[in-house]
Amino acid sequence: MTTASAEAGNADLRAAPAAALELRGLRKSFGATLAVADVDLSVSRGAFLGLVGPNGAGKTTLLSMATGLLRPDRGEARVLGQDVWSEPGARRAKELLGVLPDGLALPDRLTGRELLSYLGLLRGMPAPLVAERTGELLRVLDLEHAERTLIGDYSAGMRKKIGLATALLHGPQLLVLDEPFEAVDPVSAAVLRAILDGFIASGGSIVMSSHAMALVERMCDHVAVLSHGQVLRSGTLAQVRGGHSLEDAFAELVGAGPARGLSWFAS
Amino acid sequence: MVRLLIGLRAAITRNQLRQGNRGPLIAGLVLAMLSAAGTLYLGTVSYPRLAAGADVIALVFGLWLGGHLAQRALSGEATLRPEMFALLPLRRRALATALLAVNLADPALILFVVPFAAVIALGAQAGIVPALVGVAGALLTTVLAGVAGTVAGGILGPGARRGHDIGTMVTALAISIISVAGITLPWLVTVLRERSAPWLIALVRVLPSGWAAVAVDAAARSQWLWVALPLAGLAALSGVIALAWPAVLARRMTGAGTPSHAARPHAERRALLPRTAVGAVAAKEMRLWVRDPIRLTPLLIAVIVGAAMCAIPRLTTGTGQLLPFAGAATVVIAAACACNLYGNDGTSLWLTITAPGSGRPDVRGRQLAWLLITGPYALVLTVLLTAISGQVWAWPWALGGLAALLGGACGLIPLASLTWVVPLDDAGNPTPQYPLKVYPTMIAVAITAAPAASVALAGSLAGLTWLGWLAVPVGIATGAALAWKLGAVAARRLRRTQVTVLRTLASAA
Repeated sequence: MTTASAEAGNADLRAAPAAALELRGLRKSFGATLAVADVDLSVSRGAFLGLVGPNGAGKTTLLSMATGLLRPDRGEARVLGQDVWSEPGARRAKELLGVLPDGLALPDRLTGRELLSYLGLLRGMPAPLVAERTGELLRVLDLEHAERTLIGDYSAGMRKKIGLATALLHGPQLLVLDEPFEAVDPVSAAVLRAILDGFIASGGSIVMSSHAMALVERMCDHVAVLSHGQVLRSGTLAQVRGGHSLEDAFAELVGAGPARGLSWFAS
Repeated sequence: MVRLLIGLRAAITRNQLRQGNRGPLIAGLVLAMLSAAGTLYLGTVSYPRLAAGADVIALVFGLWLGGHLAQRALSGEATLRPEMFALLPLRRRALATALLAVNLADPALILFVVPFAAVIALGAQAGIVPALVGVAGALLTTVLAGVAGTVAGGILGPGARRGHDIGTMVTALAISIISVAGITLPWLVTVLRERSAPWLIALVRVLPSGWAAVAVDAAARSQWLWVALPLAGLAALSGVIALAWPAVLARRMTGAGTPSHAARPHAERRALLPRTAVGAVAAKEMRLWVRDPIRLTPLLIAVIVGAAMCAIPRLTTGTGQLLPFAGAATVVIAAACACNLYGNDGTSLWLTITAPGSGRPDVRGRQLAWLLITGPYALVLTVLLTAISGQVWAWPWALGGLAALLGGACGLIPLASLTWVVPLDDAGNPTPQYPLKVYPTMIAVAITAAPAASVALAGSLAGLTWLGWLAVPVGIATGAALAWKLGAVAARRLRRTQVTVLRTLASAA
């Protein structure tokens, strides 16, 4: 169950099985700009949460803080009960977490296979397992034909796919994906969807940010709407859209005015 | 349009300055002004003959011009990238003219007037007419620097990555030659003053950078043909290069050329390294050292400069005393250039942050890779050149020093890389702040050889061979200790600061 208000107290949290992702009072400002304002968000196990919001709403900042890539000014983030920002939880949280960040680089001068091998061994996985999973990921994601292509020469869609492969390689229980479908062609998108559906079916949980409302409606069972660094509404898909399409509900929530054309088109 | 473009560049530069740290820029400016003042001074001192002064100034102008071209070839036009204008309905020739004019109005270029004024000062030593010839020569050389720099940046500079890899290699060669000349400058100036190396005189005079000085020298001797020819040559050369500029610009803006990253064979270097976290990092690092021009360029410079600065005295005056230390010099330069690994790797640091417990393997793997890349080469070079030099006394110095430096460098590289992380610029090149990290690192690395060198010195002074040879175990011991200890400090620092470093790199990207 996804709730903006944190119903469960600390005691309950310890008793009940921990949520897949629990964010409490997360806050981040850059200079005078408040990017994320005391966000509470809970993603239960097995849920597929779509995080939507206008450009500059704070989605990437929020997900970066949730995954240990950006230190929050205050608040806490827990992955399956493990605190992302303090030891000893952080280490365990990173084992349980698979991340696809947006706007961060990959080593341009490695091939896909080299990157996955490096990352698997860096995470302490046994070499045969790394080789096996790398081969399967490259095959399923249709990157095998690019065996000798450096990541720097990948298309935007191929970069997303190899990024997803890095998130999946170590067998995480929670995936946090920032715009995984951006710039991905329809055929590859179908492959990605099948992988993510399979991940949910196997008991995993996913948090995914996206601008594509239709995609979120089709794939996610929970939705959170973020605007100006605050969660405006969260819950099951049905709760959030309340009888409308998600796109209409979203426009109403973020207060988008009627879209206007340009003045000089009229003349 | 020229005024508009100058305004645009000023606005972009202003915003960059507002965001960035101004200290390094000011330090760089002070350094440049000191060099400029030094060059100007060379025009005011008196020479046995004016011709000798002209030769010295021709040489120094070569360093300025070469350095400017190398800098432009490496970083291109970082502010007003031609690609920004690709979609505007501008006539190509008009845009080319405007961009060239903007480049000629570059404040950095205006600074060049100061060192180039040395030729005026030299002319003034002989009279008013040679001084006036010097004015013309200084202006024409400045224009040549502007025009040639613009075209060099267009051909070899970063623009949609094309040709940049090759450009970086060419630049490495140019920087190496200039560095060697810079390091050996005092010696070269002496040789020119004494006019004892005719080949060097011919070389500095035949290069366009020397033509202004040749004209002034000829004016002092009233050889008017030799005044007119070099000056006309400078003007004509600038004109010819300027004529090529529209074509170079068009080629760049339409993306002609081959992609830089051709498919490369799948190198299985991993077999040599353990299939552990440290081994994986080392394998990745070794691939990057070979494939990434940002890393390979300084390595090539280290190899060329390290060998050349120790071999040149032997080749010219026959003194081979520096030969045994070519390996050590290479190690110091290669280490100093590796002082910003995390800054150069950019935001891919997130992979390390999200992999639990990867701080230590990341540092150790980087150390191992650098040692494997430079160590064997430096050792072979040291043994070979020490043997060739035939200087028996040098063995403990060279071997002990090399061991100490290799270890000290392994320790200092990750630590320096995590101290004041400098991101690359928008075009993926080192910023002017990078050299400000390189030089202190160079000094720090060199100091790590002090214990071994002290022991070798004690051995020499006392005339005890066995004491001198103690420098080798001492070098190995201090090297190993520094590599181990400083690496551990770096690993702790990485764990503590990695999120902050990522933030620095991400906000620069």
